[in-house]
Amino acid sequence: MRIIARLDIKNSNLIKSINFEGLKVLGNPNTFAKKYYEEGADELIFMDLVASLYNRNSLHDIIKRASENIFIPFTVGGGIRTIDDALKIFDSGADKIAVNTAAIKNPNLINDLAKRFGSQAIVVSIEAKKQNDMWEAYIESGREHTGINVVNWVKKASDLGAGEILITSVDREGTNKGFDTELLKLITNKTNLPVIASGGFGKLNDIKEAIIDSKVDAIAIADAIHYNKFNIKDIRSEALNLNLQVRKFNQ
Amino acid sequence: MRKISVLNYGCGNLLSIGRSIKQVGYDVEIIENKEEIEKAEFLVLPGVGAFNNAMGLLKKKNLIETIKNYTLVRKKPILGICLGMQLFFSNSKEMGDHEGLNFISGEVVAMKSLSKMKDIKSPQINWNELKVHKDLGKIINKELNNRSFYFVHSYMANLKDNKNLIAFCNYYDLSVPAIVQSDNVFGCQFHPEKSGKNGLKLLENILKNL
Repeated sequence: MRIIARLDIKNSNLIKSINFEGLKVLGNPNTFAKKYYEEGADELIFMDLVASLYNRNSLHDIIKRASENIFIPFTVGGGIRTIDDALKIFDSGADKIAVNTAAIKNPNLINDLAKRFGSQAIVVSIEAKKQNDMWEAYIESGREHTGINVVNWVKKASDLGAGEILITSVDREGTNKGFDTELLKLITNKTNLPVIASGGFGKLNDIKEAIIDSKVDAIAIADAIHYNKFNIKDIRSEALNLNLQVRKFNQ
Repeated sequence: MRKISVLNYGCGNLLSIGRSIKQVGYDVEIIENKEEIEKAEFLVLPGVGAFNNAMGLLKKKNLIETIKNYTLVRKKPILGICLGMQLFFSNSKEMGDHEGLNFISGEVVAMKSLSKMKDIKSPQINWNELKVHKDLGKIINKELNNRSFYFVHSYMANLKDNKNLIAFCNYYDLSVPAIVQSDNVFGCQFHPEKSGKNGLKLLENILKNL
C-alpha cells in the first residue's frame, strides 16, 4: 500500500475543509510537503479546490518549488481541462495529473490525455456522495451533482484509459470518521486499476478497513496529518503490523 | 566532474530528473539536438507515455542514428529511465508492434499479457523492493537488495538474455526487470529521481561509475 499526503490548496495556501466546505487556511503548502517527504510519505497529492470554479490553477509555482527538494511522485489536480493545461502541470514537475470536472463534462478528455501522456499519468478523481440508494458523482469540489452513478463512471473512466482512481467521499471528507468502506468496495469491485481512498481517515484501524477489507491500494490523508493527529511514521508502523506490503522507508 | 546531458524530446519529467541530478552533485544540461548529443559525456534518456509516441518523436527529430552512434560506436554512457529504458529494447508490443533502439535484446510487453493472474492490477503504481540479481560493484550491489523504489508502468521488458538482468522486483506472479544493463547502456524501470534517498543514492552511483 501507499501512504499519500493530500494537500488541498486555495490561493496558494494549504487549507482544510469539512465536506469541502468551511475552508480554513493552514499555511504554506511547501512547508507541509517537505515535512511529509522527510517523514516518509510515498507520494503527494496537490489539489486546487477552487481552480475549476475560476478557470485557473495556482499550483504551478507550488509544485515547481516542491520539485526543488522533494524526490517522491506528485499528483496534481484542479482545473485541468485541456492537453495544454496538463502539459503545463507536467512541465512544472508533476508525475500524474488528476481530472474530475472536465472529464465528467467531456469523458473523451481521459482518452486524449492517456494517449498523449500515458495512462499511468492520468488519475481520474471521483467525488462521491450517496443520494438515496445511489452513489452519485460530484464536481466542483463537491458542490455540484451530476446525476452520474459512480459505479458506471469508474467503469467508463477505466475503459477510456485512466491509470488510477482517486475516490473521495464528500460526506466523510474532513470528518475523521473513517473511510466509507461501502463506497470503496463498490469501486474496487468495478476496476482493476489502482485505487486511492480519500476522505475520512481518523484512526489507525481505518487502514485495515481500507486496504484489507476494501482492497484499495493507497490511502490519501489530509487533516489528520496537517493537525499532527498522526504522522506518516505511525501510519507506516500500523501497515507493517498488519503485514501489508509498504515501502521500507528507513533503509 | 562529468556534466550530465538530459535529452528533451518532448517526453518526460525533465524538471525532476534535472533537479535530482543536481542534488547528487552534478552539473546538468537539458539538450535537444544532434550536435549536443555528439558532445555529451553522459546521456540520460527520460520517458513517460506510450512507446510508439516516444520513438516517433525521436524519429521526427532525426535523433535515432545520433543516439545509436553515441551508444554503439562511441560507447558512451547512457541511462534510460522508465519508458527511456524500454526504448533500449528490440521492439515493443504496446499498441501494435514497434521497433526500439535495439541496444538490448528483448521485447516490451504488457504485464497483463504475461501474467496468469486475472486480478493483476495494471499499471503497477507501487514502491516495490529491488531484488539484486547481479552485483555490479560500485554501481549496484547487494546493499540495495530489498530497498524500495517507485515504479509506475503497465509494460515491462521481457529479456532475451538473462545476462542483461541486474535487478528485478516481484509483482503478482511476475518477476519484473527493474534494472538492465549491457556494457555502457543502463536502464531503470523505476524512477530513481522519485524514489527518495535510496533513489538519489543509486543515481549518484550510476552517474559516478557507469
